[in-house]
Amino acid sequence: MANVSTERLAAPAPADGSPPIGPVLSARGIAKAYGSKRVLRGVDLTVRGGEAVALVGENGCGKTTLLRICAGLIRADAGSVAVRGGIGYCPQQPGLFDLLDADEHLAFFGAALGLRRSESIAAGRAILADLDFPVGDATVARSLSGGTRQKLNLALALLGHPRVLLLDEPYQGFDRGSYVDFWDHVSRWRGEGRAVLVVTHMLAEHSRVDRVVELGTGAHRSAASGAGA
Amino acid sequence: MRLFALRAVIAAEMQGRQLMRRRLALAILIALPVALYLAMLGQSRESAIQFGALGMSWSVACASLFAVLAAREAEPRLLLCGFRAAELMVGRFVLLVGGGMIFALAAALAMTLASSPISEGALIGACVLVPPVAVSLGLAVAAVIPHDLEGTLVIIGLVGVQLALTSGTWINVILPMDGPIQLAYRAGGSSSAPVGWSVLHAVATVLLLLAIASLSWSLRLHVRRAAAA
Repeated sequence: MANVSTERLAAPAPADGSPPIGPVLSARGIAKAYGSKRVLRGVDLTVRGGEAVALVGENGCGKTTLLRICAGLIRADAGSVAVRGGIGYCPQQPGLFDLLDADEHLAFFGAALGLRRSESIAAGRAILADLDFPVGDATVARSLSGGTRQKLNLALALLGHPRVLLLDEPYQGFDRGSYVDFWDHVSRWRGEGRAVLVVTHMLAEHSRVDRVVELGTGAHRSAASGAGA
Repeated sequence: MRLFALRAVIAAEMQGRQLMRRRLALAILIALPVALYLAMLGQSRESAIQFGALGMSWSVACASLFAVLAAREAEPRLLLCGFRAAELMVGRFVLLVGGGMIFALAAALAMTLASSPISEGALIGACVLVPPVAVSLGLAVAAVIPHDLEGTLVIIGLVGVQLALTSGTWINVILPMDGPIQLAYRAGGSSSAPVGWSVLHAVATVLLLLAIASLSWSLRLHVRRAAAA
């Protein structure tokens, strides 16, 4: 397949020293076109539990499309996706309700996950506190700063402790400290045995993940196939 | 069933919270039918009641449209977390119809006192039928044309054409607001359509519009559950 490069940077292994976990997310032969424009052609991607994978590539090469297909939010023209466990999806643009505050978001999304309101808010506040979000603030989402909105966006993806995390440039608007912390969180989630797939352009952080999967561009659309996938 | 009800209730609650925070929009939604009614009050009783009912239709349908559009980014994530589209739609429908009904009954009382209708029952009937039909119209338009300007123009067109028509033409029958508007004519003393026909038209319209909204949403918002890895 053309224009594909993958790089193994570290062997995926849970932090507790237990053996690597098998595939948790597996996408096979994914193809997608928007009209006459082919965005993905025959893409394969596997992410194991306890593995953090960076998905990189030029603008418009289909990273977000691939993530949304893996999440089940859009239909692939061809191929299949198999997932073991729940999915937490953090979109690039915060998918929030402008006129609801953080606790209301937590209650709403928690209800979707089958949690009681008090459970949702308690669990969500713990996640938000981890992300250095001003917990208990009743400011509605549209009045939050960009970075703070993004933290809420990310927290909603983490609610319910999903086994697969699909994160589409989730640090947009983060200040430097929050950005550094984010990659520490990725390491922690990986250590908890979760499969973490992060769309990123930040080359400096590629050392923080187990593999880098690059989606190519050009007339011959790529497949992305992680080493050992 | 209990889970469905619980989720529909929280969807309604969150919809209500968002709506109540749009105070200016709420004020304009109330002011529009009041202004139309008052503008026509000096001309004829029949026209004033008709314009009041149509103004309510515009307000409620647009509130319904924008309630859906405001959730466009976040709703797919709720579905991914476990909500069903029907739970969100039922919650939103109940909340908007309930809110619209409070407004409609207050308007019916005010118009009864100010216009001394020929048939008070028909006036109340017209006002009571407006919210379910108008909310259904807004939901259907939002599902089929999920863009604010285009959707608003379609609602203005569908309700506005009703203004230009005299009672009893065949075109009335295919317009969504004909049921309540025929009752408004009757309240002013000039309808030829039987009360039963108006109610039947309204019920059929609500069912048809909700079916359109459900079908369109299920196609647009369907989350594809991945197979187990």
